[in-house]
Amino acid sequence: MMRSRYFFNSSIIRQNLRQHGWIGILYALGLLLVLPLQMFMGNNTEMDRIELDSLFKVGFAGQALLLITCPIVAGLFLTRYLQAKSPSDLWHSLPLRREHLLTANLASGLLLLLLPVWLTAGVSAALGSWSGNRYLFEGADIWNWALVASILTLFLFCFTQFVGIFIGQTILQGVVTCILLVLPVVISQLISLHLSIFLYGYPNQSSVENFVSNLSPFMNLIDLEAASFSRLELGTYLGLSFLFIGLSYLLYRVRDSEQAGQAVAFRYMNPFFKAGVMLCAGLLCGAYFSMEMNRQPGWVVGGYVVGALFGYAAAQMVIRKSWNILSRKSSLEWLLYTALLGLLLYIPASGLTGYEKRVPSAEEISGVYAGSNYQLYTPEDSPEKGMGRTPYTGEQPYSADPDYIEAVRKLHLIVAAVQPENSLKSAYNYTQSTRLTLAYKLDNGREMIREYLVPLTGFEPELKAVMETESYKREEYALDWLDKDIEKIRLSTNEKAVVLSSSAEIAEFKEILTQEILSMSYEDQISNRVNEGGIEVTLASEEATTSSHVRVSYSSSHYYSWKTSYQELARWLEQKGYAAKVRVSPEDILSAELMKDDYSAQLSDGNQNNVDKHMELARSQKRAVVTEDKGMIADILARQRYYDYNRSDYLVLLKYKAGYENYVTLAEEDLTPGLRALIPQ
Amino acid sequence: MIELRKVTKFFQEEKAVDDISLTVHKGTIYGLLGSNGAGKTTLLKTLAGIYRPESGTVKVAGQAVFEHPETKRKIVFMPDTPYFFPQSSIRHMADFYRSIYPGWSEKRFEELSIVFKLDQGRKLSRFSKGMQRQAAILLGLSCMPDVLIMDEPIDGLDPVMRRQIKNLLFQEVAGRELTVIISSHNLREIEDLCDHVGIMHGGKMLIEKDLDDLKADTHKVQVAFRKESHEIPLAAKLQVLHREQRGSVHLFIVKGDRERIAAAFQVYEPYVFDLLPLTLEEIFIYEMGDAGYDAQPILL
Repeated sequence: MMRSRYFFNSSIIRQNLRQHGWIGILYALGLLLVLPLQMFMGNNTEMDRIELDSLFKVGFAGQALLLITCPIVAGLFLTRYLQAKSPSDLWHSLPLRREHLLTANLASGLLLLLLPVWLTAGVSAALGSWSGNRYLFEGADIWNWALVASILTLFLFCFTQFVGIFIGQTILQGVVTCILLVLPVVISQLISLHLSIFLYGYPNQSSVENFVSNLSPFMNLIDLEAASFSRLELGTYLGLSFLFIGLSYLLYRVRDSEQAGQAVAFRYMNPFFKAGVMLCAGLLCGAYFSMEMNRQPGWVVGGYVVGALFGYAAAQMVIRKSWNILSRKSSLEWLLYTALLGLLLYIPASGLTGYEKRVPSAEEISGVYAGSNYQLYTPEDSPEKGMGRTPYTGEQPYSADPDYIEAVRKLHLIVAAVQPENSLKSAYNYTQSTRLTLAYKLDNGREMIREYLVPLTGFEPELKAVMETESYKREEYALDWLDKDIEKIRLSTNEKAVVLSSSAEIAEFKEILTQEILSMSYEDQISNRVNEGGIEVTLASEEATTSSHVRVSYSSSHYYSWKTSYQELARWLEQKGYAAKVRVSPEDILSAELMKDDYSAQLSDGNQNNVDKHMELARSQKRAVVTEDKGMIADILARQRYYDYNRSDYLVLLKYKAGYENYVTLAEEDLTPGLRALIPQ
Repeated sequence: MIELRKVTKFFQEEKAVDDISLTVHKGTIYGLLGSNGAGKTTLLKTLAGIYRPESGTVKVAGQAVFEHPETKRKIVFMPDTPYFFPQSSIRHMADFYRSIYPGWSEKRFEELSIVFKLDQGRKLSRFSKGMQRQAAILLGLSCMPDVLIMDEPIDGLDPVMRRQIKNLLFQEVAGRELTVIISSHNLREIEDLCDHVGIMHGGKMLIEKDLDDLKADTHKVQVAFRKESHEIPLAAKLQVLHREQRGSVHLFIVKGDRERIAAAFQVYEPYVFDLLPLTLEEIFIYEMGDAGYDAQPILL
C-alpha cells in the first residue's frame, strides 16, 4: 500500500470530518458573523467609510473568543480518541501506525480550522471592493489577517493536541492547555515577586512586566487589537507549532494506550505534574499572603507551605481520581516535595549565588543609571505609543561619566554591604528613605539592575556624591525635555495658573530652570519643603502614526516642581510679575490651625497616619489654636513642609478661601518666635 | 499462528499479565477463562497490538504485532462492549473498515448480512446490546482476518444467535483456517467451541490444556469394594486427583489411560464399578484443586 495512503488516510479524515465537522461549521459561521457581516451593518451612505488598518479591529472581542476557543475545542475533540477507553481500543487495534493516526488527525483538524479562516478572508476580500462596505481596507490587510489568524489557529490547535498526548483526560487536557497558555506570564511574575521579597536588591516586578506579558499567547492575542504581530512573533508561533507537532509524534510513539482516562499519560511525569502544581499553588498562595500581609516574609513562607499542601492534595486527587489521598506515604512524599521545592525557591533567593553582594567592577561598566524612573524607559515602539510621549520613551538611561559610575558603585557597595532593611515590617521605626534603581550597562552587553530603599540618614556622603552629579540630575529631572521644541510652559498652584508662550520667555525660563536643577544640592533634593507650584512643560504638538497605523496629532507634557530652593527662578518670575499671579499668598488663606503634634504614642497603629485624628485629639485637649493673622500665615507659607508622620513636630491645617483644606507641618527649627508663642505647648 | 513468550504487562503498579507464554495453532479455537480481573482482557489487548507489553514478545504468524500494520491487518479485535463511531450505521462502519482492512470481502459481508438480518441504515447506537454484538461480528468477519480476538463475545446473545455464531466460527475455522481466541468467565458457554482452554488467575496462566486430551485423560470412577482395605493399594498404583466416600461407595477422580484404570480396579473384583467421563468443569475444578487453588471463585 502506498505510504501516502497511510499518512493522509482519507477514511480517517472523512470520519473525523463527519464526527467533528460541527466545530469547523461553528468556526466558519462565527468568523463570518463577526467579520464580513459587520461590513454590512450600520451602513449609511452618507457616513464616511471607516478606514481600517487591521481587520482585527472589527468585532475584536468576538474574533478573539473564536480564535481562542475553536482551535482548542477542535484539539480536545480530535484527541478524544486517546482519552476515552473504547475509541482508544478501536483506533489502536486498527492496522495503522500511530504516526498515521496523528497525521490524519492533524490534517483533519487543520482542514476544519483553516478552511473557515480562509473562507472568511475570501468573503472579506470580495466585500472589500464593494461600495456599500462600512469599512475601508486594503488587500494587504486581508492577507495580514488571514496569516495571523491561520498561524494562531495552527498554534493553539497543535498545542492542545500536544497537551493531549501528555494528559489522559479531556477535561484536564482543556484545563491544562488553558493554564499553560497563561502560565509563562503568571509564573514569571510570581517568581519575580518572590525574589523581590527575599532577594535583597531585586528590582520590583514592574520593571519586568513589559517583557513577560509577551510570553503568553493569550495576552498576545488580547493585545492584537492594538498591535499586530511582529514577524518575529509570527515566526515564533509558527516554529513552536512545528515543535509541538514534532514532539507529539515522538511522545505519541511511547505513549501507552491504556493510559486513556489517567490524569498524566506518562507515569514518570507524575512527579513533575505534582511538583508543578505544588509550585504554582505555593507561589500563588504566597503572593496572596504577601498582598494581604504587607509582604511580611514569615507570612509569605507560610503561604508557600499552605499552597504547596493544597497543590499536592489537588494533584494527588487528580492522579488517583479519588478524594481519599491521606496516607503515611503521601504525607512523606509531600514533605519531600516541599523540601525540594523549598530548596528550589531558596537557592536563588539566598546569598549563595552572590546576587546580593555583587557590584560590578569599574572596568566592566560601560554605562550607569541611578534614579527612580528606570521602568519608564520603554522602547519607542511599545503599545503605549500614541498615548503621548514621556521624557523617557525611546531614550536610553545610561551615562558613561566615569565619576558618576564611581559614585554609583560606591553607593552600591555600601548598600550591598550594609543591606539596610527594605521591608515595611519595620515601618514604625524607619527613617526617611529613597527608592533607587541602580542599573549598569556592562561591557559584555548585559544589564545589571538592582533596586534599593536607601535610608537618607547614614548614607549621606554616598547619596550626595550620586545625587549631585549632573548625569543623575539630567535623567532624574528629565533635563533633555527642556531642550526640545517647547510650545508653552504653564506655572500653576492649586487654583492659580499662568502660561508662558512667548519663545523668548520660554528660552529664558528653561535656561534658568536648568541651572536651578543642576545647582540643587543633595539637601535641596531631599527637602520636604512644600513646592511653590508646578511647572508643566508642553512640547509642540506632533503628528504621529500609532502602532495601529492611525494618524493622530498629540502633544506631550512633563511636569517639574517649582521648589523653594529655586531662588534665581523666583527672582525672575517676580521681575516678570508672574510670581504674584501664581504664588499662594496669605490673602488666599482663611485661617491656619496649629498644634504641637506629640500624639503618636496615644493613637493606635491604624490611626498613626490619620492627621484628622491628631487634630481632633489636640482640639479636645484645647491644644490647637486657630489664627487668621496674615503675618503668621505668611510665615507658615514660607516654611511649610509636606506632612510626613515620621517627622511632624507641628501640624498645621490651612483653610483656603476657595473652600479646601490642606495639612502641612512645621519642624521645630521652622518656628518663628511669634509662632512659638502662639502654639500651646 | 499466535505465539506469546514470557509476556508481562503492568497496569499502574499491578501486574495484570504476569509472565505468560502461550501458543495457539492455526485453525484452532482457544478459550481463555478466568474470573473478573484475572487479566484476560489485558492479555487479549496485548495480543491485538493495542497494548505494548513491558517484557516478552507477541508474534502472529512469526511477526511482531505492536505498531506493525502488516501484522495487524490480519487481526480483528472485538472488545467486550462493541464500540462504533458516534452516529454511525452498519453501512457507514463497513465503509470505514473496507478502507482500512485490505482483506475486506464484500461477498462475505453480503452473505453475513443475510444471516444477521440487521437494518444497515439504522444508527448503531439505537441497536440493543445483542444486536450491536451481532453487528460487530458481521463487520469483524467481513474483514476476513486470519486471527479473530473476541473478548466475552457470547454475553447478551440469545441462544439461537449464540448457536448461529458458534456455527459461523466453526465454518470459518474449518473453511479457511481462521484462528480464534475467545475469552469468557463462564466455562459452559465456550466448552463446546474450544479446542484449547487456558485458565488465568491473578495475571498468571494456571493451566492450559487441549480439551480432547483432557477429556480422554481424566476419569470419574464410582466403586464399591469387597473390602475397604482394597482402596489403599489402588491409591498407590493410580494417579488419584480426588477421593470421596458416600457410604460404601467410593468416588475417585483418576488421571490416566482408561484401559489401565479399569484393569487396576477389576483386579479387586468390586461389587460396583463405573468408569465415567468428566464434564469440563469438573476436570478444571479437580485439576485446580490439585494445584492448590479453590476453583469455585475462579470458574464461577
